[in-house]
Amino acid sequence: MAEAGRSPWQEAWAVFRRNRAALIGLAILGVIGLVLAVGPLLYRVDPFDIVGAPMTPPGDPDVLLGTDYLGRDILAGLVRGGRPTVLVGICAAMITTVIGITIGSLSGYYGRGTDRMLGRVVEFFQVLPALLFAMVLITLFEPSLLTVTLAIGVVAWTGMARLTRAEFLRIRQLDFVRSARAIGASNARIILATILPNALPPIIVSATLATGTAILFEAGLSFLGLTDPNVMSWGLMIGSSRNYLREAWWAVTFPGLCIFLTVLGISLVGDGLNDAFNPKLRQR
Amino acid sequence: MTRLLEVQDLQVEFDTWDGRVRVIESLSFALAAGETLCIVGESGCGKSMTALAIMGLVPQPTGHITAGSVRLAGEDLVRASPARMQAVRGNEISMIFQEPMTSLNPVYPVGEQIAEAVRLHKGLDRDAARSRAVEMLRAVHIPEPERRVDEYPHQFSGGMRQRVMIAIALACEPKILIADEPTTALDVTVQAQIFELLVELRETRGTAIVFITHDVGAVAEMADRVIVMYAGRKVEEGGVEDILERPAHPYTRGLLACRPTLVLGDPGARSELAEIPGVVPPLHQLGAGCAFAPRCAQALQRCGVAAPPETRLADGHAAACWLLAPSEGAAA
Repeated sequence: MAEAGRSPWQEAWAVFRRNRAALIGLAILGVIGLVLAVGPLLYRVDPFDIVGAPMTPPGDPDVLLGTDYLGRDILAGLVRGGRPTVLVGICAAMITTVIGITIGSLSGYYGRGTDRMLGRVVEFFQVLPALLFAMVLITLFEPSLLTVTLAIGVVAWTGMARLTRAEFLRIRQLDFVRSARAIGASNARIILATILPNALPPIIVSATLATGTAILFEAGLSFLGLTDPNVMSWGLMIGSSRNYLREAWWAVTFPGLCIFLTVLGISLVGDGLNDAFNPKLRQR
Repeated sequence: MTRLLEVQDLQVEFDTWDGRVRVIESLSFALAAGETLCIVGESGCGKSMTALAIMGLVPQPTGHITAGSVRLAGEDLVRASPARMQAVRGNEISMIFQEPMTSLNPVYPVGEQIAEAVRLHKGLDRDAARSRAVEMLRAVHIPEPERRVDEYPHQFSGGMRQRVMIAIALACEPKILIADEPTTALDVTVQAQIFELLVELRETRGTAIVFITHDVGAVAEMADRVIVMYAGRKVEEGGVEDILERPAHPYTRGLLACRPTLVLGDPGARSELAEIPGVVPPLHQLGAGCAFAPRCAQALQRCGVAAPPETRLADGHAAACWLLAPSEGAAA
């Protein structure tokens, strides 16, 4: 088994495994993932409950990381608030990827009129200021996790579309695509089974980094108050405590640190994937 | 002779910045079941475009088949629907290309790429398609096919990859295999092996082969019949002996003279390599006459005025040259 059939994916993993920074990133994400998965089961304090005096500093035996201006437990907020934050990031990145791949692949594969038409659509979304457009979308509807996710996904897909289009333009003229046509593969089959798998590496890297960007975007929107006030999230914690930054630094710092670590982990993994997929950097 | 494939007055044109260019002009030929037809000519003479036209793969949107027909067992493929052409490609007519190094998809094991063809056309399930892939790898003489079926293209050498391409092309038992310079990118020793393999597969499977090459040695090795093309036109057609031993068209003769010959032991005997002076003219600058006339040592005045008709020289041997036209026959 080790001898026969090392797929390009397995080779990429072999390179990735030797990349220390990427492994550190993976470890960070692993710890965060673990805490978010089992934390809420172990630490059963409701993050909206008032559990102590307002602005209790960290180190108190009852509330380890202190309380915010209302006396809510920061640690409980971190443990519960991570899931929505990460979920919004992942879902928004998925929306971005799906829209981007769809538009980009059709545009790059069919070219000509299709490309020109879809190119206009991409440009339309590209010239809109992303934050402003997302804010408009969220205020038009009720601020909820769903609308925030959709808003981020809808404003952020253009880069993915352009990347996918460029990959399709490059790959569609390669010899093996001609071979696929010569054995009678349909356009749909060539797009999905022949070209797309070869275009995936940069798309995966980009999707990974897009997850980090989406988390930051969510935090930014929350900071401006544009998030679901009924769901505890890291962004909401920062947003609601920002007026008390000087009196209770911990209420903002700890969720900020969590976002920072998550995005850092994602970026390290993304860079590692980029190196692993880039054949020029691949050492044999 | 049962005519499997019949190309009639085929004409292919391309839109370019210099206007419409005719890359194939009134090309007609027929292919019998089980025979090997070689199409010979210099780069840019329309050999590959002929192959793509048969496959219905003339590059879009610039290329057009503007006249003529390609009949496969009577059915005109030029007018067939795209869906019908998809069913024909890989199933009834297959094609292999010049570049085995890049013609396989790097992200799939070779076995899956062979299986893809049979699953598309024969509706085999995964297991049946896989065993078919192993069987095909064995047929093209790849050692240890059970193991190599799961390997990826980068684990194969150029010659082995061309064998895999042939396995893919023949997996559905097509009636016709079009081989577009399949050995050009390979070492000479490997070339010989591929020729041998193609000859063997033709014998065992009865697949007719359209073999496109610029290598006269390959013609001698493979061909039953030969078509010589120049600037998108057929200049001569005949059996392999006719062409190699009694070439009639000045271009064919020039092409044959361009082969280097090895003379061992006597450095003085090393002869000057013959060449045809000039290059193939740009297709948009072709005049009314014979396309080869500007490079032809024997060109007559009328060669520059009108295109020569095809003259029958013997059974199955014909050439398009004014020197051979009945009225000029004495002059030649």
